[in-house]
Amino acid sequence: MRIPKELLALPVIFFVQQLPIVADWGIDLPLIFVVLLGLRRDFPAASAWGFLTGLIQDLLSVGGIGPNTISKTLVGLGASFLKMHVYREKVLTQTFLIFVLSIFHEVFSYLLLRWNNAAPRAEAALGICSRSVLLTTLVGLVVCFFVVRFRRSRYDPATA
Amino acid sequence: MFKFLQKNFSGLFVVFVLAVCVWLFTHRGSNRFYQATNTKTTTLDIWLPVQKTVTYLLGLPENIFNAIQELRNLRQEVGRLQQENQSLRLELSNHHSLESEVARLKQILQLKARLPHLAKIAHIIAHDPSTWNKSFVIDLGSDDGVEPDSPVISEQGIVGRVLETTPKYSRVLLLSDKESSISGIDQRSQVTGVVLGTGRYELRLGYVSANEDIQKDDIIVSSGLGGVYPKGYTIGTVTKRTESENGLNTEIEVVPAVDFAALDYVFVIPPINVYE
Repeated sequence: MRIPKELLALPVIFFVQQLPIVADWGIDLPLIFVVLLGLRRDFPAASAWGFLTGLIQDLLSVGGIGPNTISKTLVGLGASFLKMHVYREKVLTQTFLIFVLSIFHEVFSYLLLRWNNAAPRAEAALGICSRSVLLTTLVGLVVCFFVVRFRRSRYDPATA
Repeated sequence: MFKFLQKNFSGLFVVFVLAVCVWLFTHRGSNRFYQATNTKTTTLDIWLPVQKTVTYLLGLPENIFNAIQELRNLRQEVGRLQQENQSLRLELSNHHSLESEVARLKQILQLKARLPHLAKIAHIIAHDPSTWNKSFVIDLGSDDGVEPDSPVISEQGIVGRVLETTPKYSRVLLLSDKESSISGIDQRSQVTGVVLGTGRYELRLGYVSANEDIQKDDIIVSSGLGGVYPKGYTIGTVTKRTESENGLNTEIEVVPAVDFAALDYVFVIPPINVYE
């Protein structure tokens, strides 16, 4: 049986995500993973990867299935939908999509937490959201740069 | 006579020159200084620059060769010194880290001596991967006697409490988590309140009347109320106080004493009910 390489990437992503420098700064590496994967998969596969990634994130965090599972499933779906409307093999396009979907993810998570009476106060939430979106987008920019270069060198060496 | 002179001109000239030389030689005693200054100085003035240039030109290849050799040696020496410098810097940095490690371990041991004998040292192995929660996982679990609601502290102050345990690991909910709350007391004025997590780095002191005496830089410690945290451990320092417009409420911002991101080790102390 062939194990998908994305599945092998997940432990690495979550190991890095749980390092203090990443976790305490609010960088969401699983989100970048879900967006980049969603841009190259159809709806069912993208949502499945989103669900799995979010579920692991929630299981490794406080509590069970929570905002990350639901939100990342939707992010996967969103990325898969957007791939039909953009030229995905561009660093800035991918970064922009990470930015947009990161805002969606944070706002949606906050609304879910609020609905569950577990949300922090609005001004604290704004700080958490904005820092997470900004830093995730910056890290996403770097990741996208390498992903695009790698894919060009592999699939289209003429433009690499 | 003229014919004689014409015939022997060369010989006579030689004799004349010799005679002049003899005269000069024999008269040097009487006017040595005068002769030396005029003739020698002129000669030296003409000759020495030539001598100097020739000597310089003759020595030039050797000098160039020596300079190249010296440059090569210098380069090697600089390389060697740079390497030595780097290795010394590395050694120094190792010494510094060892020193700080020793200091930190000393602090940990001092705190361990002050804590109840059941306190356990735990190593932090993972931080919370979610943006909205503040927790971390330690390498002690129920097999090591860790129970839910056990207070977790560091040498700086209170870190949080154990939220859930597995046989080998436990999850610690940090004071800064939005679900966290702890009863605190102002060390100076003895005013009590509840310190609440905000989900961000700073904490908030709530349930305090607007007229209570709490000022900036006051230290907030645990009051022991609530049945989770023992009394007297540092929670943080008041950094900001803002009154609401109607003057009924007050917002007090507290910066935790513990730098959660820099923690490596923590102490898990048994829940308060163990002592009861």
